[in-house]
Amino acid sequence: MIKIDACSLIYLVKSDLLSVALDLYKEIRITDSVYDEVIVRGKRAGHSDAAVAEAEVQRKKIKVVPSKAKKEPSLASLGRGESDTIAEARAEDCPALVDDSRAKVVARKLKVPFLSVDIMLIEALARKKITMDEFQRMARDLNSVANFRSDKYADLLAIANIVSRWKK
Amino acid sequence: MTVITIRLEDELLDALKKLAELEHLDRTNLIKKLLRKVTEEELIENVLQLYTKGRVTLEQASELANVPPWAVIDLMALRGIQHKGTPEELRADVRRRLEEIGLKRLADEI
Repeated sequence: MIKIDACSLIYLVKSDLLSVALDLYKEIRITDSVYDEVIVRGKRAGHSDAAVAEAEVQRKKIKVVPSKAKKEPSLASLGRGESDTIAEARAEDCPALVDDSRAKVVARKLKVPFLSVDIMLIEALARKKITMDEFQRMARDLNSVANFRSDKYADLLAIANIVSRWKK
Repeated sequence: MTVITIRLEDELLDALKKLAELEHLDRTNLIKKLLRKVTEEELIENVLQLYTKGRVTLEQASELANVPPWAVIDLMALRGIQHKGTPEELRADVRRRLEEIGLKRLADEI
């Protein structure tokens, strides 16, 4: 199972990478606050991708859960969905998929296991869920949405090369 | 609605009169239209800068700019604003994640 914040959910939907997340973690959960922020507000503003995300909820590929976990004071610096995602991941001892840079800082500080969508692709490659060719295509699609720094994107591809050649 | 009074330079007033004629609007409605447009643009510009610097999260940026988070992501890409993350942070996070999933030897090679 994995918990996903608003930024990562948007990246997954826009880059068409939800299936990779499902293959790796079997269950994708978002809090009701992320649902409101991404899907309800997105649909109200007429964003077609918000309807795509809603269809995945209706197909039960994404589960919406209420936020119940107790929150650490450091989470107060984040938005509601971001703090709920990290608090829920911490309470349930499962990883959080977090792409917001400020949310990552807090997750690091709280020692919550987290990864971002680019690292999810590295994990998929390491676990042989995708090939290097698929990685390159997916990373390109993700970069067109997330617009990584060019040196970071080059390093992502270099890391993927090491991972794809690695033998246990 | 609140009434406000502002003093304008003659040149600016002349330009507004000309634009009002061209757009077939009275001066008040023209000024309201221009103010709304410029305010929205400046608000988004400022919020994108805060988000790029990591001073606010995506959700906070979205609330401040009064647009859904999808729009913030789209605007970032459209304006070619690059994501804040560095290669060093990426390597550290990849190593940590690989260790978390039991691939420590691979993590050591990154």
